Amino acid sequence: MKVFIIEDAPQTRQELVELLATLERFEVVGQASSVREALTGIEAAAPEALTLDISLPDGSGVEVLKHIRRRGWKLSVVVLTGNLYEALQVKCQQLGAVAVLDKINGLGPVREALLAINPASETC
Amino acid sequence: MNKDAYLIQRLDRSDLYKEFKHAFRAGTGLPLTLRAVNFWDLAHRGQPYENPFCALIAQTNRGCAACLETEQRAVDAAKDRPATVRCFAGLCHTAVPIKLGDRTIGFLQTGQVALELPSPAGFEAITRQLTDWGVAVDLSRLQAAYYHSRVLSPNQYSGLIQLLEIFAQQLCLAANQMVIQDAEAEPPMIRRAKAYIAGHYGDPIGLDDIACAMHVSTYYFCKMFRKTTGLTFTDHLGRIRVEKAKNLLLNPHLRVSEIAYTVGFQSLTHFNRLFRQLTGESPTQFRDRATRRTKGTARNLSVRSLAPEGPAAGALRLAA
Repeated sequence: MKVFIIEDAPQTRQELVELLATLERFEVVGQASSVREALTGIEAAAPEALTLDISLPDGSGVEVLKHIRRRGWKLSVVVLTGNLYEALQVKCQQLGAVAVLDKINGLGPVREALLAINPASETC
Repeated sequence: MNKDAYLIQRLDRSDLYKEFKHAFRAGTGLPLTLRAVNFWDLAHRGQPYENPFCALIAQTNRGCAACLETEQRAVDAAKDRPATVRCFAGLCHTAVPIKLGDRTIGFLQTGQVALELPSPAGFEAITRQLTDWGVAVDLSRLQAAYYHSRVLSPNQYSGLIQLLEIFAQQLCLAANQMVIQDAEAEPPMIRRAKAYIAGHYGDPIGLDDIACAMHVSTYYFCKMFRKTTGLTFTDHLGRIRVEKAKNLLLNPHLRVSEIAYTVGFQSLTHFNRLFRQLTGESPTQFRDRATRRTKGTARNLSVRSLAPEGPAAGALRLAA
């Protein structure tokens, strides 16, 4: 499964790349550290799944989710945020995110969420 | 100061903790504080590596209250395992419990760290919250401090918390050793009284009798016993009797009433009430649970085909 990583913190991005390298059926096809880079990168790389940070330097990851929905792209999105609150969780789920995770809990839940994605059931 | 707070104070002054604290702070750039369960001030206020952003916020009454509330939430959530919570500014705060037996006596606290890079949107949310609270603060200084907050990745932070959890176990062991040393250092009269109780718990032991045997007045004995052990003589005796009863309850051939009288209770009602009070369950419930566990252990052991020698042998015989 082709995965695109959207995360502005270089260390966290590197950890996500390393995590995905340990998972057999996943392949990182691109990375972005801003909303703008993400939108162009997703279109070019055509991934099947995303890990999406919410706090990005030029906007919110929610904008990326909305864009994906508007364009009708079939993607499984795992949201990973360092500032999770209930309204954000609800909003992301309404926009089709398969999981909304808190960085407080480390990257273990990201691994589980990615492994739970069924290749045949993209949600966005 | 209560005994637990005193123990935490001694741990705080120990070389073990001082060396770890120094290494942790230098290696991570994060504050670290060891505190008793009840506290009235912020954990890292004025400490090395305190986040300047947090220091500025804590200078205001409302901000200080918010920080205290965040620390309280972390401590409340850290009953058995470390817990991390987030403050209104999105910074993480973690409490790691220090336990003595099953009792939490204090916490290692760290944090004031972000898991996201600082952003204009993040700072805007903070200033909005401060305005709502009516807090006046130098925004340019606050912004500079915000952008200099320590940022860690999720893996880095969870790794640090794991290290703290491992060190907390070391502190628990050190606390246990201190308690044992204290017990050995208790006044000879109390040590003799405890030995007497351990040898005669099955007999009716009166307070006057034991005070007389120690050649002191009842009043002085009570006062010294309470001061040294933290328990009244009656509470201590009750606990010893219940502990002995727990051992006897593992023998299915003994009746509960028989056990109650054997360990020195004069009434079954009193035994049942005290047993429940100290263990959270009735003697019968304790016996049922212990028997189930023993049977489970016996089953596991027989599956693994262990030789019936050693500690397992008793369990197997009991389950039979």
